[in-house]
Amino acid sequence: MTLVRFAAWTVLACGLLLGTLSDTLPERASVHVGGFEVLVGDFHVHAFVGDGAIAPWMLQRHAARLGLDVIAVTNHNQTLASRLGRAAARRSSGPIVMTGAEVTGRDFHLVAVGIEHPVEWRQVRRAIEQVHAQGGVAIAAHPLRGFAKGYDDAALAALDGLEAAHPDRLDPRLLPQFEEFFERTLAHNPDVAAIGSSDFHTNAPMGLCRTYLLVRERSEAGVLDAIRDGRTAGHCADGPLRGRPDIVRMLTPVRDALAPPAASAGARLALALVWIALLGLAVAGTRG
Amino acid sequence: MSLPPDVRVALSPLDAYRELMARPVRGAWLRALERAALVAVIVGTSMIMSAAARVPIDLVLTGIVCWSFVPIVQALIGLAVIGRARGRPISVPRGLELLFAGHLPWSLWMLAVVGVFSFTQLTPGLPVLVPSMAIPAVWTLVIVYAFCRVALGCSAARARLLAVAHQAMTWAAFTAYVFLVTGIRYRLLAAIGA
Repeated sequence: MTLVRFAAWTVLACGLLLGTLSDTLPERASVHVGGFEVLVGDFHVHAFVGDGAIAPWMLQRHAARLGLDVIAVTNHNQTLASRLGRAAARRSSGPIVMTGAEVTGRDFHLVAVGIEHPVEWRQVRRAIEQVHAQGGVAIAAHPLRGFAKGYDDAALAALDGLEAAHPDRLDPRLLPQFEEFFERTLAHNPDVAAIGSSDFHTNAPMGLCRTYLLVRERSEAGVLDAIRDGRTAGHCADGPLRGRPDIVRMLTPVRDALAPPAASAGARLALALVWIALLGLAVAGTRG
Repeated sequence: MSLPPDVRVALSPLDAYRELMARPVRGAWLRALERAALVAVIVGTSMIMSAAARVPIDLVLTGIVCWSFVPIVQALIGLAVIGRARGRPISVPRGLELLFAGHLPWSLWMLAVVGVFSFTQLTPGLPVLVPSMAIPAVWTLVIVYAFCRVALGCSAARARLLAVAHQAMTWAAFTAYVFLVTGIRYRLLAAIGA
């Protein structure tokens, strides 16, 4: 068994070494459309110290791996993880990490981006008001029935954005609920920003669904400004762009240039090696 | 070649624990620590593999450190159980080491889930994952019973009680974690008007 254990540790070391060496960040030239720079964002990312798997200070580099320019860390009703993530990110020139929270009530979920402190979570309109008071933007999160019942007409009119692209939208049974909420919101709020978010916890890949933003400047202020003005489109995997028709028309020609980069062969091999090593270690255990 | 102790504990826990108890060991605290560290490596690395689908060493090490609270909680629960066994024939660290030797069912479940997410197109949701947890849960209950019966020298009735208490504490800790970090807490609080 000593041999198996030794082999497992050796394979683990090789896997981690290969995983590290193949961990290169994709290069992408900046894309401009109609006088705006196009940024790629994911505004619904959970982190450890919450129900995410990855520590907030590691999220910036992970976002860079996936070709994202900006993310918001949004744990449930807390901003601690996002502030940790932003503090770590400010020391490097990688993607912008914004503070935020997923405001979680009984009958609504709301992603708040650009806030410093938690907001009221029992009543959605008060939550949106407090998000705006802190200079942030309010985005209806995965607006399926159980999470959208709290939105009355006034709340819909006050929203800055809604998740028009979300992993749940890939389920054909849930698609009509997304569409119904989108149409209902547009009736009260025609300029609402269409947001694409992965709702990243422990397995849906970050950036699986993403937002394309037309920004005047690459900064937190530029991002918030684009969302307030509705200069966004949401996109999931290889589905259609969702958003205002004029914005979708502008973004369609550059969509392929903004697609998420695939993991390299080295990264995939490293993943397989580490998995095999862990299996070996689980079976071989420690000293007998 | 004989099967490794962890596999024997998983397949035939009573016999395996009797055999392990008969072996003289030195450095019990270090061995217990090694066991807990191995669980931390498996849990932390699995979480990173599932979430990131990449394994650079800095990300993996951070994951192991973050998720090391899992074996720490398991060790605390183990200490509570071991401490309730009066007149046990083994030391506390030896007890912890032997208890961690029963981790294989959960390690295999976790690696199976990670394998499905990492190497297939399948994305099983909670309706599949949660019921599948019954397999390692029941399997672990059997192992912990054997641990209490043989390693702690308890009567059959006492071993059953301690095994159930161990599992109750484990699931209470898991539920508390889910309650604290997910949105469920706020939905419940709002539902009861708090």
